[in-house]
Amino acid sequence: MGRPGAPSDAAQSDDTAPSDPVYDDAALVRACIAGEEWAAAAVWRRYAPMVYGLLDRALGSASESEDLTQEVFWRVFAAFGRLRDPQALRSFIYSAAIRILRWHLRSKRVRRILLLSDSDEMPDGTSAGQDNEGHELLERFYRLLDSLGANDRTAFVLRHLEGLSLAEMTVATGASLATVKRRVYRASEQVTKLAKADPDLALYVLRAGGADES
Amino acid sequence: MNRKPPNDVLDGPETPLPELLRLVAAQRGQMTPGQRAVGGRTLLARLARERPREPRHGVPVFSAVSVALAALILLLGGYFLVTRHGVPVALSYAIEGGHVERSGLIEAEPASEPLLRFSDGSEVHFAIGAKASLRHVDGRGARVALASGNAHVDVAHRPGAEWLFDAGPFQITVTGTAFTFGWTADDEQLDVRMERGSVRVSGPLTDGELALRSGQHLIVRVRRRETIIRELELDGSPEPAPAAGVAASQPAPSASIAPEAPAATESGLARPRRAAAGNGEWGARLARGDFEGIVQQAERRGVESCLAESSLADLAALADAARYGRHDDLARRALFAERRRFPVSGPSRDAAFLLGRLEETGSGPAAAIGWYDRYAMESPNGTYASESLGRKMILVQELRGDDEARGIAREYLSRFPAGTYATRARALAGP
Repeated sequence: MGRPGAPSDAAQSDDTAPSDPVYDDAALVRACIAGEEWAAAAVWRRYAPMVYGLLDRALGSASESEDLTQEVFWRVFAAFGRLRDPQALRSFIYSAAIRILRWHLRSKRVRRILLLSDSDEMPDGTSAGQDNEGHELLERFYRLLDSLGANDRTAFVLRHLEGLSLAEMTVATGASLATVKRRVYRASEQVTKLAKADPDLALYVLRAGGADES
Repeated sequence: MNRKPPNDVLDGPETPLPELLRLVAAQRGQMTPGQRAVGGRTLLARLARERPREPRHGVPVFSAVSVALAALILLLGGYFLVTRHGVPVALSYAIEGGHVERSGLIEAEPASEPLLRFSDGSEVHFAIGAKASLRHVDGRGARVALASGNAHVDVAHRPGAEWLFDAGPFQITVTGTAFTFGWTADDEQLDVRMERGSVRVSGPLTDGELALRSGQHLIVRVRRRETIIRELELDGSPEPAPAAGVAASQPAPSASIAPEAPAATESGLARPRRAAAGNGEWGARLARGDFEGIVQQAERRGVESCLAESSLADLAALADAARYGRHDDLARRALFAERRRFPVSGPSRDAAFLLGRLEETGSGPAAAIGWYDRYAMESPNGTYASESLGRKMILVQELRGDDEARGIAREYLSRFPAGTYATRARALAGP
C-alpha cells in the first residue's frame, strides 16, 4: 500500500499540478499572506488531493470529505500567520487535516450520543441489492470504524490506510510514541475483532486469507 | 483496555485485514479533477468575500467533560427539551420517482422527475435528467447539490431554517422561499428564478453574496463573465422563455465581448452589476439587494449633491438601485450624470444603452432607438451590443413595420447568430 499522505517537509516538486509555476512552498505561503489569489489557488491545487485523500479514506464519504477539505484549507489560510517555517507547509496542512478530522469524528460521536442524526446516516433506504459486493463491504467497514473513538480511528487510518510510520504519526498528531502505539494497537484489535464478528466481512477476510486462523 | 502493545509487532509490516484495506485504498481517496476544480473555485470565491479567521478557540474540542455533560442533559430529559426548544431532530424525508443512495446521490427512475419531500413540508422537484445529490440533512434544513439540470424548490418558512443549494460552483442560501434553479455544466451557466421569498447567491462573478427577491431572474454565465438580474415579468418579451427553467445553452464567448469585462449582460431592464468593478459603499448595498436603502440615503444626502460628487461606482450603483426600485426619473438623472461627469468611461458608454431601456417605457420607442444608435456608435463591440441591436430591431418593427426591421434582423443574425434575439430575428428575416 502506498503512502499518499505521508508528510515530508521538503518543498515539493508538484506532481499534482504540473501546470503550476515552480514556486516552492515558502514562496506560496508568503504570497498567500500578501493576499495573492493565485497563490491560494496554487496551494489548493498542490495539496487538496492529499487532504481529500486522507479524509475520504478516513470517512468513506465523498460529500463529507469535500466539505471538510474546504474547512481544512480555510483554517490553513487563516493560520498562515503563525506558520513559523513556511517550508513546512505540507506538514502544516496535513496536521490541520488530522485535527479537523478528529474534531469531525468527535462531533459525530457526540451527535450520536445525543441521538441526533448525522448526515452520513441519513440517505434513505437504498436497497442493498443495488450495491456490488465491494461497495457493501466498504459500507460495513466504515460502519465498523464508526465504533472506534476519534483518536483510535484516526490512528488506525494514519497507520493502515495512509501508511505512516509510528514516528511520522507522532509528528503529525502531536501525541507521544507510547500513545500512538497504544491507539494503533487498540484500534487494530477492535477492527479485527469486529470484522470477524461480521459474517460478510469475516467471509471476505477468510476468502482473502487475511484472517487470523487461531 | 489499555493493554501494552507488543513493540516488535507494531512497527513491522503487520496490517489487520490487509485485503479489506487494499479494497478501501483502491476505492477511496482519489479526488477527481472535477472535485478539485469545483472545490478550488468554491474556496477562492469564499476567500474573495471574507477574510479567513481562526476560530477563537481553534477546533472545537469535545472533551470528556462536555461529552459527560451532554449525556447528563440526555439523562435529565434534555433530549425532550432540545427537540422542542432549539436543536430540532433531523428532518425526515422521502423521495418519489427515484431513490437516494448511501452516498447521497439521487438516482432517478427512468424518465422520471424525482420529488424529494421533507417532513417540514419543503420539497425539491428535479427535472428529468437532473443530476443531484443530497449532501446533508439536519433539523434546520438540508443541503442539496445540483451537478447539472434543473430543480424547483419550495422551502417551508420556519424560524431558524437553514437550507443550502449548490449549483456547480454557486451556493444558494435559503430560509423560506420558492424558486427554480438550474446549472448547465457544459456552458457553466447558473439560472435562478424567484417565485417568492428571497435567497442569497454566492459564487464566481457574484462579488460576495447577491440577494435575490421574489420576481427576479438571475443568470450567471461564467465563461462570458456575465451576471444578469432581470424582472421575471419582463422575461417573455425580449427573448423566448426557456422551456425548463434554464435559458438555452449559450455559445462560446463571442470575440466581440471584452474578456476583461467584470460583468456584462444581454438583458434589458435589470442590468449587470456594473458596480461589481467598483467599490463604493453603495456597490456593497446593491449586492445585498438594498435598493430602497440606497435611494433613501441619496435623498437624505441630497440627490443633487450625490449626482455632482459621488464616485463613478456609486453613481452606477445609484442608477441601478433606482432602476430596480422603479424610480425611473432618478435613474435617468444618475445615468445622465455618469455620462456628463465621466464621458470616456465604460459605465458612461453603457449608460447610453440603459437610458434606451428606460426610454422604452418613458419617452417612447423613438427616443429609445436614438439611445441604442448612440450606444452602437460609441461601443460597437460593447457588452450590450447584442442586446442593444436586438431591442432596436423589436422597436423598429413595432414602430415602422417588418420591412424596416428586416435589415436589422439580418445584421443581428450575422453578428449574433446564437444571441438571445436570434429566434425573433430569424422569423423576421425570413428564408
